Amino acid sequence: MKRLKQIALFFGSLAALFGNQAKTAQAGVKDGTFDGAAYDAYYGPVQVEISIKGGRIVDATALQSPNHRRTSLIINQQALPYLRQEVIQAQSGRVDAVSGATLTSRAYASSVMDAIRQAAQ
Amino acid sequence: MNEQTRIVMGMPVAVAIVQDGAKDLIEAVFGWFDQVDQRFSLYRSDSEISRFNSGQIPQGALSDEMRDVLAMAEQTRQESHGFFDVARPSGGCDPTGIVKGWAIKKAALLLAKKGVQNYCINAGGDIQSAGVNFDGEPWRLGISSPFRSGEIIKVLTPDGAGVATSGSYVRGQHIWNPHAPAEKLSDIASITVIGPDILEADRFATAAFAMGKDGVYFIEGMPALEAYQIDVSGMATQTSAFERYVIS
Repeated sequence: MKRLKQIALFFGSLAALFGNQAKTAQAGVKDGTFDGAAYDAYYGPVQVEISIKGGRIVDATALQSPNHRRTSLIINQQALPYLRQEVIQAQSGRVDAVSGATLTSRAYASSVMDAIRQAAQ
Repeated sequence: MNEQTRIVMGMPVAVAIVQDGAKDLIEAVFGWFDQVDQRFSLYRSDSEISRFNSGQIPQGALSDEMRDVLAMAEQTRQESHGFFDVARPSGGCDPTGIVKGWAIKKAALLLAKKGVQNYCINAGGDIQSAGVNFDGEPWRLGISSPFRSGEIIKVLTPDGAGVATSGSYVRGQHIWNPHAPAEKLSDIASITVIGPDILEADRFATAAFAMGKDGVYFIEGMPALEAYQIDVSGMATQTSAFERYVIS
């Protein structure tokens, strides 16, 4: 139930913030940039930053990292083999499926909600 | 319709089965993913993982599935010198970095047990395929550009291998770490790993990405794994036998 409420609140807030080219600023929502909390997802943590101007969201950016817990480096740099390098280039032609890192909608929505809550404080 | 995409576990999951009467098989695969979500979702307070983290379930009472995933996570932690770790800074454990690959592998086994030879399962960009596509040709998989969604920068025929990509989101020239937003995380935009199956590809893609530019060298040192790593300037580095999967 909590989840449904959150989703309703999320879309309600977006509608209020983006809605109808309204010129009036939404009461109680501060201008500025707000970072939502990082939410864990099947892809790793997802975090969204929103910018609010005149009571409306004017920008939303994903600040995301993978499951990154340690930073120390174990690998022996001196033993690195030579590996082939190339500049990536767009390829044409049909493919059946695409592999890539994707944002998870649920974590994204949660982080946006969190940022909106901060703006409304 | 022998191909369907649904949102499960907060991500698009596409299942394609190349044979007549695949409807029930597709339902069985999605049913499995729903079960996994109910057991492993950190977004459900009543999921097994949430109840385990809150102390409502003792370790000794965990399901076989949970034990399987936690054992695999611990094995990956050791094999990746601690770069892959399900322990959360806030306490408890978060195995979601490994659940996706595990769930896809089990879904593929489910199909194989039912005698399905030609299929492709794509869960949020991690892919297990087998046999041939709807044209009777080997499955062709694209690697997405980490900079422009919708742009394919490599075309592969995995020939039964699993393909997983781990990446971050590039904002200008910076990649951000939510745990330390002021810190630049890495120079790497994404790494795609090909492994004997999707679980191997997924867990090592996650671990290798956490290693930054050393990730591709780590994969080079692992038998049976190949990788294609892209840095933030658009330069790719590939392991020595990656080329055998490449069409273009």
